[in-house]
Amino acid sequence: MKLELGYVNIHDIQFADQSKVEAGVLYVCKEDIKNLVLEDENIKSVELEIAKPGDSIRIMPVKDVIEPRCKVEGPGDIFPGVISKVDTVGSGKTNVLRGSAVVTTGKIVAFQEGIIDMSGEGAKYTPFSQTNNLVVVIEPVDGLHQHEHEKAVRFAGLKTAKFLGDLAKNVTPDETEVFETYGVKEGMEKMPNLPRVAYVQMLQSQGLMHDTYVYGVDAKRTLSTIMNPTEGMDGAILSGNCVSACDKNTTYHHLNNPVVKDLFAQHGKTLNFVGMILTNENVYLADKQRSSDWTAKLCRWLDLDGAVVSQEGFGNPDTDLIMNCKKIEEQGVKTVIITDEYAGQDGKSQSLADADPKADAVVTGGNANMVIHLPKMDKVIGYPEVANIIAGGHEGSLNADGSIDAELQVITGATNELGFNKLSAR
Amino acid sequence: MADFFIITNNEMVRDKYASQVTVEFHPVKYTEIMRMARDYIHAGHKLLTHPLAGSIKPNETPYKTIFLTKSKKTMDSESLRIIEECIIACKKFGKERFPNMPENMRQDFRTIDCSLCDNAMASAMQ
Repeated sequence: MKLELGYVNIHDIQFADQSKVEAGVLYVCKEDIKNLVLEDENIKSVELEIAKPGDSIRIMPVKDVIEPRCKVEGPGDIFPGVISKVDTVGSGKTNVLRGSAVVTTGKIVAFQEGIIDMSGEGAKYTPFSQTNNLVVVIEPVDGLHQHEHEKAVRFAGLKTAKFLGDLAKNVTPDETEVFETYGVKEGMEKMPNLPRVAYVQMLQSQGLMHDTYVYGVDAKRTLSTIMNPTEGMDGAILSGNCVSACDKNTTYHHLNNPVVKDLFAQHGKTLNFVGMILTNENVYLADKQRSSDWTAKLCRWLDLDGAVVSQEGFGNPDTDLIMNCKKIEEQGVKTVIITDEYAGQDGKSQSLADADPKADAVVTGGNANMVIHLPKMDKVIGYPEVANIIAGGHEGSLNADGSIDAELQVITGATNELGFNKLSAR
Repeated sequence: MADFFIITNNEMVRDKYASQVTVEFHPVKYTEIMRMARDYIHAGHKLLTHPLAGSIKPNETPYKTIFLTKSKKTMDSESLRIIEECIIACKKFGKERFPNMPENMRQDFRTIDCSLCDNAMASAMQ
């Protein structure tokens, strides 16, 4: 499967009378977006804001971040099975509005989380301080149940991103990049001497605000399966995960998965990137056993030499991660696992809730318990009062001067377990 | 009759499932539910759900629900290993973050815990 990504570089975003992409500027007509979002009868009102790199702006609580993309050539369309009809994506040509993002915010539950600071100390920890963001603030109709509210916010973000992405359909990209994977036999013939490596991506799948969708299917109700990595670049995997801001994978992360990108960079040089195995992180232990058995079976069946395994979330998924690692290793396939750590504020506690000697090659996204001070911002988009009731915060987190003292886990994407973050030991 | 029971400190779980399966409701702290589950595991019950289900941290949500087998056998070492790891994980988070939690926030935590429980029920009843 072969996909060409065409990067349309966006260096500015502005409100305008007409929505368009011109000379690297994303112009957004508020009415276009409002009309689109308000098609959902569960949404009472929507406000739109712009947040650019360097602005003294704090966005909170962030639900999802989505990169606008559009299909230029090839079957299917962006976000298949959800916003577009079910069709296999991941081939042909796709344009990317690189440097822009849609950020959704809404108070789905009283307990909230997810901060993006566009400048200052907090901006150092989130990749979304570097994107030109259209922030969609969504107010539901009164009395809307949390499940429907979450869905309404999720769809509002996806529809907005699809709309903006389509503006670049006829724009000539500034740069293009081609990604291609092969069938099993074809790949072996093309790269007979290179180790066969796959990427095992664990998807959050526990329940309300802890879900992920693959071609529209709730991941908790699937067996582990195989996917071409380029399918993810067209939005085959979507985030419904609004919990644990620092290490959740937003839809933006799924579209720009750095593990996929780095494996492609080595594809045909030092390894043969065979493809992706998707698996879930359910709460029921027998489900974990079934899914990890299945993952190990697929690794063997693909005759892999190595697998990179990434996790999403904390606690419960630690057990899936270790089960996957152990069982894949027992098939004779070497593993590297990617996680983050909850090692206490002093960094001295055990990092994960599970472990095994076979997990001897580990990449960490950082310690989510580290305490940070976020200075006051001139403007807060969303709901500032939630700082006191935010994951990683505490009663008193929000200081009188508007600054926040909290753990790093309050920041969206700070310890991302795909490695799409700013922390490094280098 | 299903070979499992639920221990919980979440009244929403009790009210939703007590008519279908055995629900032991204890109005105790999150960590106490963990310790009670460990006692059951010592007595030979097997763990059916992950004790740290949900990404909300142990010192943030007050609610915890755990599924165990009703039948008893010799102690399941894997269940014990998992619950012990989870109890250690809980300790590092320290004291409760929100001791004066408003009722609407409690209700949301109950709802999320109940949603995790719904998914465990779907698997347990298969």
